[in-house]
Amino acid sequence: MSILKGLSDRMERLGSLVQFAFKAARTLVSSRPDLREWIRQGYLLGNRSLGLVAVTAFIVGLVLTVQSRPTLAMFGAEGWLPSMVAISIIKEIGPVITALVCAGKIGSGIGAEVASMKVSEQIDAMDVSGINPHAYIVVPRMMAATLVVPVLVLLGDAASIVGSYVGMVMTAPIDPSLFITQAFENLEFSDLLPAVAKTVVFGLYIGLIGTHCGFESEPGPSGVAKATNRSVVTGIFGVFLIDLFFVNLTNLIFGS
Amino acid sequence: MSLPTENNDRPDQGPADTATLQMVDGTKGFGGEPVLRDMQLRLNQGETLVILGRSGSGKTVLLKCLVGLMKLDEGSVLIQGQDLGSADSKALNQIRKKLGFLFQGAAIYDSLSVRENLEFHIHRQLQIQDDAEVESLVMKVLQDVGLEEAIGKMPSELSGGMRKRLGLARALVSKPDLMLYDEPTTGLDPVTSQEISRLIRDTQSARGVASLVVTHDMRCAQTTADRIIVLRDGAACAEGTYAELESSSDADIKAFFS
Repeated sequence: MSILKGLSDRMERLGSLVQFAFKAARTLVSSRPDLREWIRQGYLLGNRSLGLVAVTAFIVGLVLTVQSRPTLAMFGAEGWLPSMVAISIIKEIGPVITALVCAGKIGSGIGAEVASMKVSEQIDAMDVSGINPHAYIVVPRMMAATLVVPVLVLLGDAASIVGSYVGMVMTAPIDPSLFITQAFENLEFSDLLPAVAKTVVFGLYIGLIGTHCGFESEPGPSGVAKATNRSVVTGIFGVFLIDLFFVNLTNLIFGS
Repeated sequence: MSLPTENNDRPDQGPADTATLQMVDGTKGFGGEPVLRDMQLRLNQGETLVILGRSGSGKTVLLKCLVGLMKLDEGSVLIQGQDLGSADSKALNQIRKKLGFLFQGAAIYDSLSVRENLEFHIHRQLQIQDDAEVESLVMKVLQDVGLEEAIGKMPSELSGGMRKRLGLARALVSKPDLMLYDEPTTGLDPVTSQEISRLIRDTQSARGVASLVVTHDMRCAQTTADRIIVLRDGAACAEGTYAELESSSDADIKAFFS
């Protein structure tokens, strides 16, 4: 019985999310975009996350290089290391790790902010004044996340490549230009395009989930805490699902 | 129990076209538990009606149903003759632009300064973009509520009373035909409570708007009310002026005045 209840609650939440997304999409299409607010939100979200993304990505690049080196050395394939790391980072690890960091940092920020607006009746205040809260709360944050996450992923990829170079240098010195040449010589357009495309979807999803969880917040401080937690957990889970979908789609279109 | 009288001079007995706000047979429940039961309410132009009731008597649900934040299970709400229940979202927004609402916690936008809180509504609600006109409206409404010196402050720098004043200023800036107040004096000291109550009274006198005040503060009710409805278990159990209800023999009503 409790399993059925849990399933029913999740389906209800999914239905509410779809309805919320349609309303946001309709608002996006029908109202004049508040570009200043998009940029302001984008700056806040990006500025808040850049340091964490850069440090995390740098460490991932470094660790990946240091860990992979002995195995490749056993097969005499050390020369493939820069290329292998670059492809792994750009195609998969960079976008996913950055999206996960953003789901935590951006998702929780949006979730908590919107939930506290809901709890303190700021959203109701817009509603009763005939102001569409989707236009001034949801759309700017959703679009800001959609635009900022791909930029953060690209910057994170760059930090990972730098981390990888540092990992290489730690064991055996290598000329930076040789490292760059080796890293990018096997990268193709079909590696880059799906990777960038999915980061846009990651951003859109993180913004949507954060605002939805905030809007659905229960009253009181515990409601804000639950909404924040839910926006992070649902955000992280969704990032993996979107990634799974994109990997299969990419293999279907470009071949595995 | 005090019941509505048959006095035809009473605002509640006026003709239908003078009603600014009306609830007819309003019923609302949660999980099978009724919160509002066949609620009848009528507010006329220029009148201040106070809804009095204990905690949990359905005051806030009533208010939320009156502005369409909650939908009635049965019955209807009419604002200037327009049915809220049958209005689509565009029509509902147009109806709501005639309303001013002071929330219990003032519902100030925390990330915006006092000035920006007001400008936000002037730009979005009134669609006024001219800087000079916006400035003039901001200054006028801040003077009306005695908050002009706080124009550059952030909400976190304001006291409880100042937040209420800002909430009132924001509600008034759109020149509403109907003002609704949700527990306007809750959480304030007696002196500030009385200042806010007088401000509600003065606003009603100066602008002639219809006002509905939901409260359990008797001093606020005494200062502001033309007429009072007492709510018990989601239904109106008594109605009259402050003086009439004060002399009621009903124990529950008397308890408010003791």
